Amino acid sequence: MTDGDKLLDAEEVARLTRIDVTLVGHYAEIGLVTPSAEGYTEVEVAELRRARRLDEDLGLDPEAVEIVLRMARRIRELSAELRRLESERFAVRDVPDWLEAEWEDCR
Amino acid sequence: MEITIEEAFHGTTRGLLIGDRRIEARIPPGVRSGSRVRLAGQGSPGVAGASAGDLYLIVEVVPHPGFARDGDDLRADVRVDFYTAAVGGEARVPTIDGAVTLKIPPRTQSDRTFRLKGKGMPRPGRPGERGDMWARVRLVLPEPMNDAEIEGLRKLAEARTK
Repeated sequence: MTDGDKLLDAEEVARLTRIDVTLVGHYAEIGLVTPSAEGYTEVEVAELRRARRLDEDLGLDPEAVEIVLRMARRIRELSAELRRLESERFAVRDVPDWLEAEWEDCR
Repeated sequence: MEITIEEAFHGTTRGLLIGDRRIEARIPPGVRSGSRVRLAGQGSPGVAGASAGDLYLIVEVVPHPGFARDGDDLRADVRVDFYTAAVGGEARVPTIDGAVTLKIPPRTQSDRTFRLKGKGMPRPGRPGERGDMWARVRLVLPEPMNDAEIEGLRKLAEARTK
């Protein structure tokens, strides 16, 4: 379906994100992204794009960018967990006896 | 991109600004959170004049406070007063495409679940098909209840325990 599984090397990532290739390497060093030996994932490229915006728009240094993005990731995770828990309220585990509804539209 | 569950139900078109281009993204009905919608040829231009790649939108469906979504099915609680639950009657159930009147049989216990077939979300890629809506009964007291009513019920309660 998609090239989402394709891994990109640092040069391609630098080109796509318009970040200097040495900065890409630095971000990897401080753990903002954790590329494997084969390269960077699409998700990591997206994270690097966010990093560039923080760098350019807010003038944050790489270490600050790493902190901000880590927190943003954590917020996304927590939001997803919260939504999941809220809809668990309605979870019907096993409904052995449910009835077929008789209903009509309200008019 | 965030859309509401109503937009996910009907499908929607959203205008997007990508750099200096304005494009229309069509979101098909039944889309789920985390779905990717592919916009062919709207991605970054290719190198050395090659054709543009695709743009993938990741759609996030904002949860509805009244319904939970379980795949293509929707679930909701329905408040039913205990008179209606005991002797039978009707209850109003909101659904994604309008409220319906649900028939409540006599002796309906709290937590009883009704299936409203075909009142769920559209099945992606299967036009005309929808999941189901599951309505779970929550017994409540009717409001208001006056003193005479409470007194009458007290007598009934006492008669039960004799």
